[in-house]
Amino acid sequence: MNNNEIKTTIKNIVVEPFYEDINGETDIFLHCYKAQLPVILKGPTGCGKSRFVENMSYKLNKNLIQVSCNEETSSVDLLGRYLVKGGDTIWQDGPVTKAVKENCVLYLDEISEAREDVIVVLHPLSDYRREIYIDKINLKIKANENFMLVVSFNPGYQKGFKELKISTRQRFVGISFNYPNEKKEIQIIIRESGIYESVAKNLVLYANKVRKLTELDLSETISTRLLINAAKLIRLGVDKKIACNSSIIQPLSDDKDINESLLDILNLYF
Amino acid sequence: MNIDEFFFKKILNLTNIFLKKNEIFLNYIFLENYLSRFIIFSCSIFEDKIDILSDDYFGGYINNTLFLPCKVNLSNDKNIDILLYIYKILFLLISKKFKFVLSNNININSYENSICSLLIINSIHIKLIKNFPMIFRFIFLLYPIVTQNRNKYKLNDKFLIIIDFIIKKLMFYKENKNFFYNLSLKEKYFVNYVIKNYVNNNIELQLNFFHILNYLNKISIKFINNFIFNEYLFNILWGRLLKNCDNYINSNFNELKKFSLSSGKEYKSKLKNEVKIINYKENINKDNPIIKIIDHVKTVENYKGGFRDTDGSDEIEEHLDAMNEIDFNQITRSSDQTKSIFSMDVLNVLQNDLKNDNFLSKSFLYNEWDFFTNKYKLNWCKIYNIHCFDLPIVYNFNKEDNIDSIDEKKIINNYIKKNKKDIEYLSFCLKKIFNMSIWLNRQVYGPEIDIDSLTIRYAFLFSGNCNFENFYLYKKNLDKKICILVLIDSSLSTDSWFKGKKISIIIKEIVIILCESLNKIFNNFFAVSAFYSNTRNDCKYIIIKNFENSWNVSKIFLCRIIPIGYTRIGPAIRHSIYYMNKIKIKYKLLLLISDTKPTDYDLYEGNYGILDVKKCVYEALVYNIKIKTISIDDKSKFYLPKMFGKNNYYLLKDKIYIGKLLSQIFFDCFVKK
Repeated sequence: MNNNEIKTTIKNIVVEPFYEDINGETDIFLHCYKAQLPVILKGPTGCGKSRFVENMSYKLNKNLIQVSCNEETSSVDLLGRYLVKGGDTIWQDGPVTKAVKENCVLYLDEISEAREDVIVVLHPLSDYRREIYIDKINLKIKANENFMLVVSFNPGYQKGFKELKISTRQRFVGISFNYPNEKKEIQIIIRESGIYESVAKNLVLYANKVRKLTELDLSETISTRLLINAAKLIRLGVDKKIACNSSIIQPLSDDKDINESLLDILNLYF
Repeated sequence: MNIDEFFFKKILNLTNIFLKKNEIFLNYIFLENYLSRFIIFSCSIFEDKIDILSDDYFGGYINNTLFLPCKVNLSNDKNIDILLYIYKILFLLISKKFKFVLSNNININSYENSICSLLIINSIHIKLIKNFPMIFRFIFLLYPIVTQNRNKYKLNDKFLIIIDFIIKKLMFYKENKNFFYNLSLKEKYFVNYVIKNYVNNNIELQLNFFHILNYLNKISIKFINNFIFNEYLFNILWGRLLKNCDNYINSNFNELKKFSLSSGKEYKSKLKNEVKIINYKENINKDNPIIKIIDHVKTVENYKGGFRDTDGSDEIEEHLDAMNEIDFNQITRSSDQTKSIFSMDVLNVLQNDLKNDNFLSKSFLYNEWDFFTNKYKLNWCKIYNIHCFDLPIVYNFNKEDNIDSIDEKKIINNYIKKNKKDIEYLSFCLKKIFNMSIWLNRQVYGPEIDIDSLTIRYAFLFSGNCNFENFYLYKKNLDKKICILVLIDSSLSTDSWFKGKKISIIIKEIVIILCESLNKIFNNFFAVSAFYSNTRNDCKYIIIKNFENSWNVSKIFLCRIIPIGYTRIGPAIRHSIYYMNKIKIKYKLLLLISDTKPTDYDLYEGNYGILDVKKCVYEALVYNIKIKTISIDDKSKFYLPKMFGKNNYYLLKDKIYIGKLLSQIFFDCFVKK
């Protein structure tokens, strides 16, 4: 398997990313760090999970290693592999090994999408043992108190019947994310895009109307991220309806009926 | 004028009339084409599940169902017509929110009601604008059409003047000069009163507007009794208020409904050994047909004399001793709901059933998922296996085909002939799909080398840690050893129409196209079954073709499936899973063809039915059986994802696409993983 298939980013966060605390999740996270407990973030897409982890890494003054898991992500990809270089082979650490060695915040995004064998890595690292075992080089590495494991998954993801195993879930402290309330979401949109309050308010009202729609059967609904994208376009002078259509409605669905009814609802606000 | 000239002129006139009619017809927008769009829109506004049905008149609402006019043609611009529908939906939803009852009945329409409606509409408008400021734009767009439409009426009638004035007010139209020109002093006083108190002010919705009518009477403006105020646009936009008496009937009806749904008690009788089933015909004595309800099994009152009231009162407890003494050895079946239950264990019912219907061969018990308690109801549903060759011969294909005989073979051959193109297309696609080959990497042997695996092997060899031999690519043809069960819904709902064709016929055509194609490729290894139900105790599973039987022999039995009963999908799927589990083949596909939600008259409906089917899908996954479904219902996309998951359902949008749709299912199932 190519090393390119696993998307890993290592970030040294210098400027504090903006994050508005919604339900006291910042406090819980900091306490978990002190208690050396791994954290699982649950919530719909675009509600600020990744931003939250970035914010926390900045606050803890740590490098952040972020891995976007997909159905091809296996334990080998996380732990490391041998590579051929010249006439010799060299061992390359995977993101998990690297994070444990360098005491980073390790963030495994969409963990439920990964292959089942990642539990080989996750289970010993997330319980009291806090260690990884690399069978290929016969090495056991113990994480020290500065290492932090964070995983995330979308519980409502309807792509298949994929769910996280109970035995895996019970090793983590769960923090549930949802879209912020009207006031906070308006503030977030204004802060992120620099748009007028009246427009931000209408965007949030529209999003809240659509979020309550269970009939749509969208895999995900209008996220704060989509609203910020629309607000950024509006700020640059794009017509409000066109901006909302291309940045909110089109990414949500390909169904003609659903798109038209979302436009009908949009017409009530813009 | 010669006779040929006369006929030519007549024909020309008729053709012109016909063409003009068609032109008008073309300009209409039809609700059915925009139904799902409007349903989503109304659900979002009301924040609850709303259903929309088409109405021959002007619309209204009952509970969570909106009735909208089936077609609208106000202008040449389709967008304006859609806008009108959207306005109507908003209007109805706000009326519903504030519990205004709107009526569809043209006969009760009079000027008084129109004025009342308009006054209430003003309040609704205020609420609408408060919630959605952009509604101004809608109203500005609609106003010219409303006034244009109203100009057809001569405004010399006092009531029409008032109505016109209020409409102008509602539409935020400011020019009201010379309005009072035609009015008498008294009328002017009345109009001023109405404007001052009701139109200009922000009136509260809870006010009783009927006192205005009394006032109207008092100031003695001439009433035009029995005059039907029937302006098309007015009705479409704002409808009518329901009279007090109708409200009273409605409330009584609701009370009655509550009463009939209230749960009663259950009493047990002594065990009986012999019970005789009486065929009960509902139309024989409509006035007073039933004396007691026993778990959907009733005694017929006029069988041995004796009458009782059918006012819905529940007196079972008072008569319990007497009932115990009565020899309940004659029963009949009914479709009504039960309240209090007087039950008894009957030993011989099944045997009696068997005597009556000799095709009943075997029954199976299945669990059912109860989402209220989050538990299985154990052995809850009884499903009877019926072999199709035991069923009576019925002629149930399309009568438009003018087939005089009821020779089943002829009928089926005719349909094969008719759908030959689809069959050929599907056979071609299936051959293509199952001759397709896929490359498998990391194989122990194969014609090609897997470069990625070889690199890994090279690294392993150098490190000396692992023995890695799987570095070949192997080309593999798709496995033809698949087991397919086609499960068709034969409930009474399939007797309805879809795009000008009977659903039961469409289902049978799908089965014919699919099975004829499958027969050419899979050497008969597929089965076809149908199902229907009448409560949990009477689910039927009709086997049209077994895995062992030949399709060429079995296909004629398709004619014997008639629309009957309800759609209890859960037990039918469970029974199919049981059948398919007997077959030891790796790939199994259950293809369900249905037209409606799971429904049965013992409250197997709504979320209960949907979640039971969802549970079935999980059960099938455990046994590695894929369930795909084809739905012949425009609204099904709202509930199918809940039942089968997002990628497991297909909607039949047009008959033309049957072949294409079926090939898509097979491609998704066996190639795209």
